[in-house]
Amino acid sequence: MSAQLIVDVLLGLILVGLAAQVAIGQHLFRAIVFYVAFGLAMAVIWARLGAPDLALADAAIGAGLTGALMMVAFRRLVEIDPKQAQAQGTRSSTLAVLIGVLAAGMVATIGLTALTLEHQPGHAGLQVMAALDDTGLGNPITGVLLVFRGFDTLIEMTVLLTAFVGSRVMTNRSRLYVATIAGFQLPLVRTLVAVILPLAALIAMHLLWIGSDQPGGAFQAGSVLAGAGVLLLLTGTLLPASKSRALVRLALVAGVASLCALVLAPMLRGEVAMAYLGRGSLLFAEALMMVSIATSLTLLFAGRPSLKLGRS
Amino acid sequence: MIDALALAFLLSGCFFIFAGTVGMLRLPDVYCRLHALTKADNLGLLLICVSLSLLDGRVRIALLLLLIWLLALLASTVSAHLIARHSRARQASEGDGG
Repeated sequence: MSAQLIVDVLLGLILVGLAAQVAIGQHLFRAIVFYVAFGLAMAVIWARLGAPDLALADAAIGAGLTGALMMVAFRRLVEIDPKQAQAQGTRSSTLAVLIGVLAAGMVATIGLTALTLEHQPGHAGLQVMAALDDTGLGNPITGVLLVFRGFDTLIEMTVLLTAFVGSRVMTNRSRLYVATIAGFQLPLVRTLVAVILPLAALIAMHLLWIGSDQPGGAFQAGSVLAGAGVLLLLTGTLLPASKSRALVRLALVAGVASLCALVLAPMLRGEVAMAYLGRGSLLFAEALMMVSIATSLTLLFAGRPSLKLGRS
Repeated sequence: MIDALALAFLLSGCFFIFAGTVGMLRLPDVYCRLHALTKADNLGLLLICVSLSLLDGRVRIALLLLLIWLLALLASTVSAHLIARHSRARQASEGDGG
């Protein structure tokens, strides 16, 4: 058995173990911590599988932001219903076991089938790689996301917007919970913010800019910016605000709007809808998508439709 | 020669990370655990970063790894400080109550 295989098997076992801890964990808080660890292990596995785009997205969104969102949801639950938040043990039903076994069987079947498949000549991946040269892009993931399957990305952005609106409807009358960390006025925390914020902005711009040719892009850049937004909320620099602002709403719909523009713009020039307009148009759409993703995720964490400046 | 040096750095880095993990699992209270984690793990991470830069050999990669180490150092410093502060405040309030 080669060393690489041992590492892969170990990673797989770690992933399954962490997933089991999330599902059957004794305590809600523990389950959240294990979920974050699960996201990080998943990111390492994506990197091992040679998918750095997914690794970046999973580390930033799967582990980082989802973890922060679940943690703030847990804190709200502690405020609203302390008994349920501290409850030990989970209610597992026989139905859950059945569903789990069936899901595992399905995954195993698909996996074993995939192992026995032969490579078909001219499958979609090869065609993308062949057609990528015409687009002038260096990163096939960006090519698929924005050129070959651009419509899917438009729908994805719409899903994000719809999910945000849905959560706003659900939490509209909820009590405001301002999730600032204890001791956010400390000089040490202020220094952290002063160092991390410019770096996060720089890394987001870098991910956006190189996204056309290397791993990166709007989703990764947007989640890094949203991470910075969560930090600002945690340190009380930004506070949730109930009064919605036009600028925030514009930021929320910018991603969907830019992708719609990307679809319709070629028609103005007499070409078919969704015709490829070149790298510049993609960068423009990705920049606006980044703004939308960052704004939606930060506002989801804030639990309010808008933000205002806190006491400095 | 460089490979052997990198291997030595890598193994010593793994040793410190391992020691930090054992410390976190075995030590009695929150402060000792923080001590084990932040001190041993940061040193371990630095040694691993040094090893990786030696293996790669490019200055750019070495500087990026240094930046990553500095960021991890900053994050662990601040979070360890906040956890210790929170724990002390809770002990103080529990002491008043009891």
